[in-house]
Amino acid sequence: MRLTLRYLALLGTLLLFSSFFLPAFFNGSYPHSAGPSFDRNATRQYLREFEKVRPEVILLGDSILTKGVDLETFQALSGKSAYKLDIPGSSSALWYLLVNSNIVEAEPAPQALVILFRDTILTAPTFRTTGPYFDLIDKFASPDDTLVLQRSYLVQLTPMQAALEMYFPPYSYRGDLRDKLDAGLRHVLPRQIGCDRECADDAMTNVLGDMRAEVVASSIRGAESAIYTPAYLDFNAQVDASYLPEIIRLAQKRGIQLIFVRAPTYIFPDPADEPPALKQYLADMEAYLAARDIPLIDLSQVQGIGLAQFIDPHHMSPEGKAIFTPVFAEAVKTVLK
Amino acid sequence: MNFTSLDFLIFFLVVFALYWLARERRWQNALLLAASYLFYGWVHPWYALMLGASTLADYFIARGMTARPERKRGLLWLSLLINLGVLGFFKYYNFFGPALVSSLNSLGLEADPLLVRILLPAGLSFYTLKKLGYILDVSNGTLKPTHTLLDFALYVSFFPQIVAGPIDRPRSLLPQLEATRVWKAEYFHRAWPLLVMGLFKKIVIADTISSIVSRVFGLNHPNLVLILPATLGFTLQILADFSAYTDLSRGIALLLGFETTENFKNPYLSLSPTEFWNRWHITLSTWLRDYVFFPLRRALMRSKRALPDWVIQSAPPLVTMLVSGIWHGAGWTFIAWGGMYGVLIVLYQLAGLRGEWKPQGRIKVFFAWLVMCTFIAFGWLLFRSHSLAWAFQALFSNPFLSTLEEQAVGLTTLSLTIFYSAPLVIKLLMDRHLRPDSYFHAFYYAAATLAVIIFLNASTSDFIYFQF
Repeated sequence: MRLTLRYLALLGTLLLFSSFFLPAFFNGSYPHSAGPSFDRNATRQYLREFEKVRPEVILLGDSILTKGVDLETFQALSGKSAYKLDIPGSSSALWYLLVNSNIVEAEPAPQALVILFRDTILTAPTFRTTGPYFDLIDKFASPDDTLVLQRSYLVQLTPMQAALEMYFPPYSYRGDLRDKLDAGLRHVLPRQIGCDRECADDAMTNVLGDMRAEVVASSIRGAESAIYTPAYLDFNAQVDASYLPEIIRLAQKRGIQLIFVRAPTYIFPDPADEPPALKQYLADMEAYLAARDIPLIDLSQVQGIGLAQFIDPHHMSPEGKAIFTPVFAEAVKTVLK
Repeated sequence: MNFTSLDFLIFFLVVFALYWLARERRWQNALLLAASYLFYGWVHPWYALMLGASTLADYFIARGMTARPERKRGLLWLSLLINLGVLGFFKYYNFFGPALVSSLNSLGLEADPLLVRILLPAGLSFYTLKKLGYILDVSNGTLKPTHTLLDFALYVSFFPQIVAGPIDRPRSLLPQLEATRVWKAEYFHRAWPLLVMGLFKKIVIADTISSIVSRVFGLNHPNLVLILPATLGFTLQILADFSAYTDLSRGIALLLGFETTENFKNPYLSLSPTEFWNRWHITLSTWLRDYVFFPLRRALMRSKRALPDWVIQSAPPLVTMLVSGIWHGAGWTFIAWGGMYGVLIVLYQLAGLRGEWKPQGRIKVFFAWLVMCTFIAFGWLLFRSHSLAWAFQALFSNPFLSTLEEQAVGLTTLSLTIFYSAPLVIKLLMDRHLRPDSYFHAFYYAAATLAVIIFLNASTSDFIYFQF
């Protein structure tokens, strides 16, 4: 009884103190905004690249594009100059940001934008937007990107979480606090052996990148299980809440031809293994895009690409890349206007 | 459903309110049984069906043992066959499956390799031991079988314990299920510190340290500089994770008016392997002691052929620890982990260091602790590694060939381990030297609650012991 009373009194004091201290310490406002607050320094680094390269075709995608398409072969076979905008860990939210702030702003505008995607991620606006992926989004988003805030973040919050985010500073600032603590812990000992902040951060990526294949496969399956749930497999229910209509609107307004290519993966080794709902999803997507005069090329099954051509369920080996690139280039070339 | 999820919070608040409103014991038990099956079948409803079928089988087997004593032996074997058969199938099929498929293929029989991937129902190992303990006690005549199916089914499926224990014995839990329960404020006063510590250890310590430990243990070729700190990290993670689950389980049970068994008593302070097993996963250790160790020793002592003393002394700990290893999982790493403890217990016994042995003098105590700690950490290295070859390759790599980046990751892992183990050391010292209701304790719990809020949603992972 006595311990309970003391605990409640001290907890109340701590919460009250942190509620005043944290907004002041992090220079924040009260009430805090629900969801993340993006800074004003959104990067437009690719604009400069586009000005330099002046590509006719921009290839956009995540690490599947990195590992699956060879740019020089693509250019040689398609007869078009191209720029490979491949960002590992990117997804539809980031692709929308890139289209909005970099690609449609390019001078001159590219003739075509080819997006290499897999399965349902084009209509999964919350996919790869939190945790380690947030930094990537934050790099390209500005406070004006309210669509991203709404479709990728606020939609994930329950009313209770939104209220806590706004009115309960220990909860609102928990990410900042954790980052501060984490940075302190990660850098203090490595500094003693001459490994500074940058070296310690690089070390985590470089040393911990060599994971066993089954570990990579298992984490991919775990992380991706959400995009194969019945809700995500319903294209018509998802499309209006996704970035797809906006990507189409932006590209068409700028006169850029859009081409969507479904990438091969080894999640469903045999077409027969694909859930019927995924087949229906793709049929609905094809109809939706066709109504807008946009081609959808399904390269999920390519002759000669099997288990041996993959290094994990998503990524092709160099051998797979060598087989896939010509097929990809030919398929894109046939629909290029 | 995970104890740290929002789903569980809502589920528990509803169950808690209805449970204490029900007042009558039978209604309370019926509600708890329904809640337990809902909890257990939340993700995979067929898990609950399997649990129900095996519970019915053991209930009637136990009743049959008293109704037809002449058939007791046969019924006991039937229960052992059902329980160990189901456990063996789900737990070890994946271990033997690939070999089985390849043997069938070599015989010209086509076997689908996909069939070898059988999902182990969570908690199967825990409730199997609970049921086996009940059947063995009834068979030995030390326990009268319960006449109420509802009480027995609830004993087996009691939701605070079903997924990862504690493996409470029928003599401890069944009488509580059969007794009237009335709400007392004392339940709350005793439960909340357990709940706060459980959430703190899981959300703040175990999940945070696991983010780096699991990555090192997932590497292709880690070296000594990486694996040593990661092993220390895992040593912290598994204690925080499993003891957190037990704390939450005990706290939840207390809020429902049940006293359940403590599972951990500062195991890393042990000076000998026997002492470690008296402090670590206590309900499993005592189960193995009572149903494997003692019966085996009795059988060896009563053997018609006089056996040498060293066989009688060494076989029971060796077999018991191997059983413990195999119970934890199918794989040579678990067998090696269990076997290591068996060999250690025998060696300590040979050196005359039995049971609660404690050397004289602080320096000797310190060295005894250091040696035991090294064995414990080495054991966890075997336990966590995906193969023995991988573990030994990492352990015997040349640390002087490591790069600056590898050393940096090793030091990062070490600093995280030291930082996140500090709260547990502080709590240990407070418990030893201060009154349990001191202001320091109250402040510690308040700070731990604040930390839980800060670390909420940082990562959500299952408790390690769910997989066993």
